[in-house]
Amino acid sequence: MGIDLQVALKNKAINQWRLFWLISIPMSIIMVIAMMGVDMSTGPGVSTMIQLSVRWAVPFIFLVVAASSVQTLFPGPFPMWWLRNRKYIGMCFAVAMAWQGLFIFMMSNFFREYYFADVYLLRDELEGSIGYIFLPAMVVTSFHFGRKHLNPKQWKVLHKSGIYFLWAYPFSVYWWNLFYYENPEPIDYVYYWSGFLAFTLRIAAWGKERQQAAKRNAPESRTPLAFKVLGGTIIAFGLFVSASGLHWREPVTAFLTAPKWSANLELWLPFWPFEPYLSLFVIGLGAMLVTKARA
Amino acid sequence: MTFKQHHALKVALAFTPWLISMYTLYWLEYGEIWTSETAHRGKISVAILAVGMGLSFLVHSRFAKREQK
Repeated sequence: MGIDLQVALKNKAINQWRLFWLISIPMSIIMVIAMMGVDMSTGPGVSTMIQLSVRWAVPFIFLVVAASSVQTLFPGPFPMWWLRNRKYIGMCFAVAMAWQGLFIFMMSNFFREYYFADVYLLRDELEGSIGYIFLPAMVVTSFHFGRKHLNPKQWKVLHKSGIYFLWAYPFSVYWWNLFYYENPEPIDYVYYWSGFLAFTLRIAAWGKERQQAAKRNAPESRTPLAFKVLGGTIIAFGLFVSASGLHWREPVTAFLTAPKWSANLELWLPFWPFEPYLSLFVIGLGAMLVTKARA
Repeated sequence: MTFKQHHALKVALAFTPWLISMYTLYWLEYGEIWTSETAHRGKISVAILAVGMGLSFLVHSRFAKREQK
């Protein structure tokens, strides 16, 4: 007897707040157990917990980023369930980030010397703090009492910027782990490619919607073959760029930070000069060409 | 000024308070105005950033409201 997926995915146990509790309670229990296993009276012990909480948080933000794209590209019961529960998946991300916030608070207040000597970097702190400003603003405005203070445009701006920023930070961390630091761990590969896939799905969904809109406005419009070939080539190049950072990262960074103003920006402007995102920019450019319709 | 140039200018203006807040923190750090010993440093950093981001959000909202009219 087969299980009807559509019916199964409507089960209350795996929807809305029950889904949230189903994920966040075991996650919190694991966090407490892990805390008992490390020496929380030392900086390195707390640092281990920061890393663990990040690893719990990251998959949820990637799932949130990909939710609407998957439904656009592959409509069906599972993508619909995913999209319907996006808010609650986002709340699970917030819980994991709250744990991380607690450990960062402990680190910066009780292990100041270790923090400033071994962990602190201004740009990292800026990127992290910005994420932590977005997060509570997004959580509060996910509920009616917070949302009523914003108009729909403001809500959209806040949540879109927040989601992209909260995706961009871990994505860049794992990119640097793979293409800058020596000996990346297997999980670094998993998280980098998951973050890459989440954003690539967004680009693909944007392209599909753009094509559909062009068809609606001018049914006879078509994408010229030259655009398709050129766009496809650019997308292939973007994919190559995404996997080959080890070969181009050093000269590209040197080139992009050669002017003094650019080298200065690197010290305080989040993500500058955007090396981790270059491949996605190239893929986006290719998608724009592939979906460019001409009457 | 074309529509696109006008839009780009508005985006740049909206981002300005946020950029200023980040630059302020850079200036405090690299100008050695504050050190790791500075009291309440973390809270002040977050407050400066939150003010910058909040102002950027308000400027952006104001532009969006004027566009709607």
